[in-house]
Formats: sequence, structure tokens, C-alpha cells
Amino acid sequence: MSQEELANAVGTTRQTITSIEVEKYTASLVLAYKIAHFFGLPIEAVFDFSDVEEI
Amino acid sequence: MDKMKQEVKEKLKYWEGISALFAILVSVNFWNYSGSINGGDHFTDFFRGFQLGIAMVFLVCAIFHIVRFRKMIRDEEALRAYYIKEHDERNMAIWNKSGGTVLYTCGVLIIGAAVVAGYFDPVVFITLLVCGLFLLLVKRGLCFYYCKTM
Repeated sequence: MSQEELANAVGTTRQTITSIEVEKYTASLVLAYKIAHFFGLPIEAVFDFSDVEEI
Repeated sequence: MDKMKQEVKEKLKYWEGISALFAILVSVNFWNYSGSINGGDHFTDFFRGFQLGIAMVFLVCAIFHIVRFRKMIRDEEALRAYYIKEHDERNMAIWNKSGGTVLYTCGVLIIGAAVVAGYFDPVVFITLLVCGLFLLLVKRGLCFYYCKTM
């Protein structure tokens, strides 16, 4: 699947998907849910939260 | 899709208003109605041509957007692509971080004010024009920067 196809499926642009993949941009909860839902997986399986700082 | 069409129709009204405003400015300038409104002799051909050029650029931009939005209302695919681009969260974050609507609106309004002020005082005209262009340049620069870093 291409970035363009994923972007069209979740209602965003290809540039946003690219930025998310290279970790330049953090998706919002809604977008993260849409992407995870598209793949039929939980959010934790699609996005890596291991680098999130604990305050 | 109806919500998208409604949004585009509202933008169409906005651009029609803008084009009407600048059409009036172009007409006033072209027919040399003012000559110089306050009776002064500063209203040279250079300023008149400059003002006419700026007003025509805005008028052409407005007409371009009007044509584009009118086509979009009839084309569902283009409408969807436009809606996605306008409501993309990353694009909105870049827009907000680079000054949002404020810088853009102020820049455009200051340039419009420069066109009007040119009928009265050339120094005010040049000052406002430079300020307006500076604001738009800063906005564009910030957008470019955040596009690369986000």
C-alpha cells in the first residue's frame, strides 16, 4: 500500500503520513485512531510510545 | 459532502466580495476619478500605475479563486481533495504556528490600505506597502520553515 492510498483512506495528506512515518510529526488521537482502525489493529500496535517521557 | 459544498460556497462569497472591492479600486484608478483627491500634486503616473498594478493582481487572484471554487462545487473528487487538504491536521498546525490567519489578514488589509492611502500621500503608500509585503513574507517564511521541521 502506498502512502497516498493510506492518506486517502484516513482523510489526510500524503505529506502528513510521511511526517508521521519519519517521526517529525505526532498524529492527533483522532488520526492515530483512524490509522489503527484502518489496519484493524490497536493504536499501541501501530504507534510506538516507548520514547514518550514520563514526567 | 454537503458540508464541504457549504464551506466552499462561503469562501466563494468571500472572494466575490474581495473581487468587487478591488474592481472598484481598479475602476477608480483607471478612470482617473481622483487625479488626486486632496488637490495635491503628488499623484504621479508612477503611483497611479503601481496602485493599478497591485489592485489588478488582487483582482486576478480573486477571479482565479472564484473560478476554482465554482469548478470545485461541480466536481466531487476535487471537492474531497480540497477538503482533505484544508482540514489536514498537520497543515492546520503549520498554519497556526506560522501566525494563523492574523498575519495573512493583516498583510492583505495593509496592502489594501496602501492602495487607498496612495491617493492621499505617497510616503504612507510606500510605508504601508512595505509593511504589508513584509508581513506576507514573514508568514510565507514561517510556513516554509515549519513545513520542513514538522
